[in-house]
Amino acid sequence: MDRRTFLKAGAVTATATALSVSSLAPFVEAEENTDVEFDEVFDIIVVGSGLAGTTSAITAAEQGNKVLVVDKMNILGGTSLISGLNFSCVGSDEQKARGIKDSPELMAQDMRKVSEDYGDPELALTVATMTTRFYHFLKDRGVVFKEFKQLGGHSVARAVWAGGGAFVIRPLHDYAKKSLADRLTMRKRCRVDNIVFDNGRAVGIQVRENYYFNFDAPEKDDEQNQTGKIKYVGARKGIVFASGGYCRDKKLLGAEADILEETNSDANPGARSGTLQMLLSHGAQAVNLSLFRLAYPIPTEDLMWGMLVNPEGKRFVNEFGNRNTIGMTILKEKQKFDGKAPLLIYDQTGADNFHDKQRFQLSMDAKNGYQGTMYKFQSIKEVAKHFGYDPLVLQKAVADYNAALDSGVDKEFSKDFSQMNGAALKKAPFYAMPLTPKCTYTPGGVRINKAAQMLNSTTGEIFTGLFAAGEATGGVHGAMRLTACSVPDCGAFGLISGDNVSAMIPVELQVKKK
Amino acid sequence: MKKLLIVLGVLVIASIAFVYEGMNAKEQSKETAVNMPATTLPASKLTELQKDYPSKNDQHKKLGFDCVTCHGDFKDPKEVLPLQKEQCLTCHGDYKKVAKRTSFLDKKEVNPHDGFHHKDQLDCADCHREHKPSVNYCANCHDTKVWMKSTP
Amino acid sequence: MKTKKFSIRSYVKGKAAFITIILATAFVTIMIALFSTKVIHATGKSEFCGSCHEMNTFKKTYERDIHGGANSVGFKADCVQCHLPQDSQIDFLSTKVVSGTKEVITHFSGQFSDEKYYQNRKNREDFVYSSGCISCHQDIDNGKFKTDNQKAKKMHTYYLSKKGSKQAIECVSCHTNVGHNGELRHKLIDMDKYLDEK
Repeated sequence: MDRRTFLKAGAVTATATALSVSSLAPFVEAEENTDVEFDEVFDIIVVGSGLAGTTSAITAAEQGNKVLVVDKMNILGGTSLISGLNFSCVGSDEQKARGIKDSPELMAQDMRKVSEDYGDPELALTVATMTTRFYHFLKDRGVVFKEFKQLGGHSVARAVWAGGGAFVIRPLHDYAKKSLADRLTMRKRCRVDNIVFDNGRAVGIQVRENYYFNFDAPEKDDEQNQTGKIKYVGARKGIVFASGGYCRDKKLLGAEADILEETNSDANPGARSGTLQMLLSHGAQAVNLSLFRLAYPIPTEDLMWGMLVNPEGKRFVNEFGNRNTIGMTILKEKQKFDGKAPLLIYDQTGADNFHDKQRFQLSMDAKNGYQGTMYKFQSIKEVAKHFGYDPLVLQKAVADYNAALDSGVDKEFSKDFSQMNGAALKKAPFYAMPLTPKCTYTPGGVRINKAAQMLNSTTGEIFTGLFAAGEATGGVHGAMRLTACSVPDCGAFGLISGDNVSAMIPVELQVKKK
Repeated sequence: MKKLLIVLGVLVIASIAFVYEGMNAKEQSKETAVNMPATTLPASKLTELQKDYPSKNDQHKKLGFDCVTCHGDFKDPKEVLPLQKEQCLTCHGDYKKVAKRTSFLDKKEVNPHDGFHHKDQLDCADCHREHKPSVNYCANCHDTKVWMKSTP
Repeated sequence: MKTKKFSIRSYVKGKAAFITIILATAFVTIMIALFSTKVIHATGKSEFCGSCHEMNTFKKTYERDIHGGANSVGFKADCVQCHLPQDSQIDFLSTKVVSGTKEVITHFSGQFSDEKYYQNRKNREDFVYSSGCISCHQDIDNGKFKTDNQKAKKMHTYYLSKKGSKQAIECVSCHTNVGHNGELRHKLIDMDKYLDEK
């Protein structure tokens, strides 16, 4: 959109100078202007309806504010709704019942262990400290935790689980609808295009209502989608950006690291960088955008029971390695073969060795996300036929692998065969799937301080009236987000941003006369 | 004997007439004076629009729907938006009813009308398109081909 | 009956007369038997129609439907209430004889399958009669139809505006689920298999 159409689109001419115009334009120092007229005015606007946004909005609404939540997608709930949402929590009833000793410091320490010293330790500690409050926030608003787990990388058992994202987001949205209907409005298909600044303070947003996300060409949505009707919505106290990550944005991922273009993602299809770019255009600081988190449809620990071969039928990696090493190797291998994923094969013993049988079954039922389906075969020949391999080539690969197993030494990739517990490629039926690592989380984003205030890259100061929470922010986790630590992040900064935006001194804003 | 034949003939003709009537019994519905409310745009303009945006839904086509049947009356075609679920459900009942109708999809617990993630939140048009080939929304994140056939 | 035109007296003698009388009597008897209210009634009920096993699915799904007794007031419509025209006695009888005969032939020749019945659902306007619906739901036809759903009101106006014209639609054109609890589609065939083959 150029400046002229922006003006034509309904803004009062007098207000135009106060608005920094296009999302591509460089940061424009806001000029004094008190004549901005809005179509609607709320106390607080929250951008994004996932866990962080919902938490922030509920917190603010409970403190008596009139809150608007906007989400560009066709549904509310974002990636949170379709995620597992394991929640690492210090001081849960479950921990108490089992007499587990834990502390925020210990949890923060666990988080920092995998961070490779990227990010801000203070933010990690803030997250861990807020977990108890968030635990009760969720429980008091209808979330029921069904399981208590010890998860990898955590020094004590501290993860609680409600059964999946739907069992967290739905109760919260239902609660908002039931108890906060007079104050909290949630609006889907409403995309934020810009921020309205007045006298250096963020006082509103330019949105497009009836925005229809382009599912047919999602990669072009940010650039090309012209749907929706422009509106200006004022926020007397401030705006919270809980606009999520950019897992699905291959362009940005690829710009940060070429091979990341080869990843799959089953995050919310709208998990793109449009809002992030808009924030950056106003001078927000981006941190850690190069970081990523790889995952597989099946647990990393259970990759070891099988054999991975490239499209030429050759092994290329130690299947018993760590998550990112295997992932990066697969991505490089994919690049070599025009994006064709390597094949992972198990025999029955390998399948029986799975420590997480539920996820194995999900894969067999084809419910394990995009390209997460495992298929069953009676012979290696059938495997070859189904995945387009030369049967002889694949049979040779299998024979070589079995021979190496029998010899007890993996000369090529030094896989520790002593741990195999009988898993080989001998006992039919066989199970196979093409394996591509998924990018499920982007630890990078806009920089915030521990009060969830967004920081300006040029001045280093905070933006008055702008807050951020959840995956939209960067620097909380560092290189590797620890398992089950996204929920506490969303919760902590959801609560903090909700509190702090509520505490802002409101500015008077004018509503356009109809 | 001749008379007998006449009698038989009459009986046969009566029977044939009876059977013919039975095979061709049509509703004796008479035309009514009822008319649909006038539209803002003239009918000719709507017909023209319908040529540009033909329906791909056989059932809707059979019923002879025009633009305003689903979209409501409008002045400017540019104002016309894709339908939201509430609009479709004014005819199709509610999500529960639709889920019941499609209960054959429940076998593998993947009925999208009562889905694990989205329950009753999706708009019908997220999958079922009127003017374009339908899509499977679940395929944004899942290998749906294994458990679902093409979307009607 | 046409036979009454003839003077019986002049034909009372001879073989021809004898045969004529027998035939005429037989015809009349059959007609009376066929159309006696009791028989007509009895052969229009689900118990009769459902006595052939190919009608099993139809009977069962009908019994689960609001029109088949699954309601709190105990109302039950007969099969023929919907599946025969109700706006003319002659049409009712003639259609009954013809479609009944067809069913009997189909039954004894074994030329039926659930798949065929499934396919035939698209011709439902030919064997579900709006006059049957309207014989009970009279408000639809006389324009006194009351509902809070504005769209429903509009669509029934739409029905009336098309009625009797070339583009006429029938009740079942829209009400595809009526009568059999919306189950016919997936009770007649295995949807998964069916869609697979398509």
